[in-house]
Amino acid sequence: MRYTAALAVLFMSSASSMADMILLGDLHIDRPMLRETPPNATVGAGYLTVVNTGDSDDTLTGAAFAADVAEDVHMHRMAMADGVMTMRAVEGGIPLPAGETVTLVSGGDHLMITGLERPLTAGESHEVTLAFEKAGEVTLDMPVMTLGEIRAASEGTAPMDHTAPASN
Amino acid sequence: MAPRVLSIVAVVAVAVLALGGGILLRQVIDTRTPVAANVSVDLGAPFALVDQNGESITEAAFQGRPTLLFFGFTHCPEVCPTTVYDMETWLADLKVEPGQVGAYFVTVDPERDTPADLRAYLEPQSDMVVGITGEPEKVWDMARSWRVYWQKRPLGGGDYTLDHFASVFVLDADGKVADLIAFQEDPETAKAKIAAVLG
Repeated sequence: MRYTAALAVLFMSSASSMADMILLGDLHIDRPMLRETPPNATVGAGYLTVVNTGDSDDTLTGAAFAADVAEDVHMHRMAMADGVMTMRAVEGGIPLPAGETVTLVSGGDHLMITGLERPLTAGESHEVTLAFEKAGEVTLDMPVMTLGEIRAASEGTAPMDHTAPASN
Repeated sequence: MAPRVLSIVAVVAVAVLALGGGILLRQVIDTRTPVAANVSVDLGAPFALVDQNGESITEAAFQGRPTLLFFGFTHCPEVCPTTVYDMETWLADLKVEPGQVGAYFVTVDPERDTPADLRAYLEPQSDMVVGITGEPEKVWDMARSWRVYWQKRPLGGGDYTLDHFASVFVLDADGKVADLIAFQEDPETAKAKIAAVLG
């Protein structure tokens, strides 16, 4: 009886923390977020965390919005060196090594959304289809959040390494 | 004996020249990356540009009160909105009165960023940060006078992004560089740097 209650509590707590987690094969996709944009911005940024619980590597190869929201999504790597910000497309997609957690985060790797047809407004959400090399595709709702909300939600995940040289 | 003296003189002269060259080079390097705290480096030059409201603006805008100066562009999804947000937050946290500190966002993409673009971009994000643009060559001259780095990077389809120097200059009331705030610097150290020029 006691065991059952304890297990129930355990189950409930883990269930609530995973409420927003999306499962696609061996991939767990968590904390999808879009960043609020100024009204006339034509570019935006998106973030998410992918846990690859499987035994084989996968790759995030692309992302797409509905045509009336945004034209295209690139995967970009931001790096800082000597105070200079550099941004490059990540050729071939973002690697998701087996057993590892990869976080797309403000100040690091991120989805760069181009050709915005409308601003991304905090409180709204947009359907985004993510494509993975092995796990296939999944469509999820990505909420639009302010930078303050994104920072709070990202606390403890992959802080930016200020000392890392630009990777290219 | 005379040739020997001559050769010693020559060696000394070469050494002095080399030393002088080294010091000169060192100064150039130091001014190119004024990252040390509390360095007062003579950057900037007179300019005649326009602000986001289409009003003319000159170097006089950096005189008489402390200034935060950032170089960015509006087609910038990450670093530039983050920096605008941070500048706004630092000044709000320091309870800076309107007008007590100048805050400027100079575009390094003047070919695309019109005053109206800058205004539409900045106004929803900030009450304090004012955009600066103008004739591209004049804007680039101004950016060069602050030794700011930027470089166009094609995105395909004729679109491009820019790599750029992403630190915020903290200027004192004389328009001299008092400090630099790095991208995503700890907010407390950033605010301390601004508080130092507020006096």
